[in-house]
Amino acid sequence: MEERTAELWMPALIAGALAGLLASLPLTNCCCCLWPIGAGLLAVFLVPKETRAFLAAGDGAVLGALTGISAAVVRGLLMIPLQPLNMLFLKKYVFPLLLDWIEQSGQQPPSQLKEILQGEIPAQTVPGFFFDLLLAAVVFAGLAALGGVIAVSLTKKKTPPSAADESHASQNSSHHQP
Amino acid sequence: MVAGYMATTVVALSVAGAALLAPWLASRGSGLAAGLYHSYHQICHQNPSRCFVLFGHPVAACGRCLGIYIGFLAGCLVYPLARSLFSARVPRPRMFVLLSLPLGLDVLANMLHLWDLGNGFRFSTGVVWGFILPFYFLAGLTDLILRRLAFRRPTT
Repeated sequence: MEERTAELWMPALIAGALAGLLASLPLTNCCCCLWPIGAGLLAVFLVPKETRAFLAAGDGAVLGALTGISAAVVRGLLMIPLQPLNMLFLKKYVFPLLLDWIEQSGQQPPSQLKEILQGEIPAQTVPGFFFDLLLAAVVFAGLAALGGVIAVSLTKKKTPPSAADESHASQNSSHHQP
Repeated sequence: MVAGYMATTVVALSVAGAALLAPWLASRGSGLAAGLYHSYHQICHQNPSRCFVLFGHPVAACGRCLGIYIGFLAGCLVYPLARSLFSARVPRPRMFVLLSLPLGLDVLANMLHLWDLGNGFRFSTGVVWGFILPFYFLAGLTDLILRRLAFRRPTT
């Protein structure tokens, strides 16, 4: 397991970096949970074929979680230089549409939205950055773990009984013994 | 395994519940609402035209994401009836593809401006897809826990 975990690092870092990049760029960052789940899937497919054949659901979850954490870190770091670009994109194309929609539906637009449109972009604080990073790491790890397990199940032609099932079977059989 | 299952269900309930709680808090002028909206912004675009409106404010997640959270919660609740909590067996690939198809097609059609069937439909496709996800997540978790236990068990 430990040897296998070492082999999982490189795919996790590559898939995580790609997902982090896509999750931080304007336009592609609106794809919500697609990138972390997709990164988990990709990471499993990047594992060499001979190793992939031995991956169980739990390995997929670990690989996915590592991928999600690296994606969150890459995204967090890239968001620092890309934040002004993202804000510019939102201000020019997205927020005016939102403001129109909110006003048409007879609601009061949030004051933050008006402030941003008037040029007052709220600056991110250092604790805020670390809070966001931690939150993203937890959420991305969970979603990418899901992607990892799904990928493991999709890559196996016929699912052999996993170590966990065998362990459970042996537990059950030991219960029946007098 | 039971603890892992319970923790997953509680987290799923909290995630779905907090998304619905945010508009209620916002309607009462609570400062917690901003924190909740910000938290969900990590994984959801929160476009108000794609969100359900409750208490005069949009839900913290879009219709599709809310559907996924509620589907995931429903899957967690059904899981013990369909699978043993001690089994790491995952659903067949064709089942995953079948349940992902409505969501995938709707996302693609929305992106290509082929159709826009509204938030109700987005929510439904999210529920269908979200329903199968715990069958993977809990299987992975069970596999990890059981192998950790097997590793710790002394060999005779």
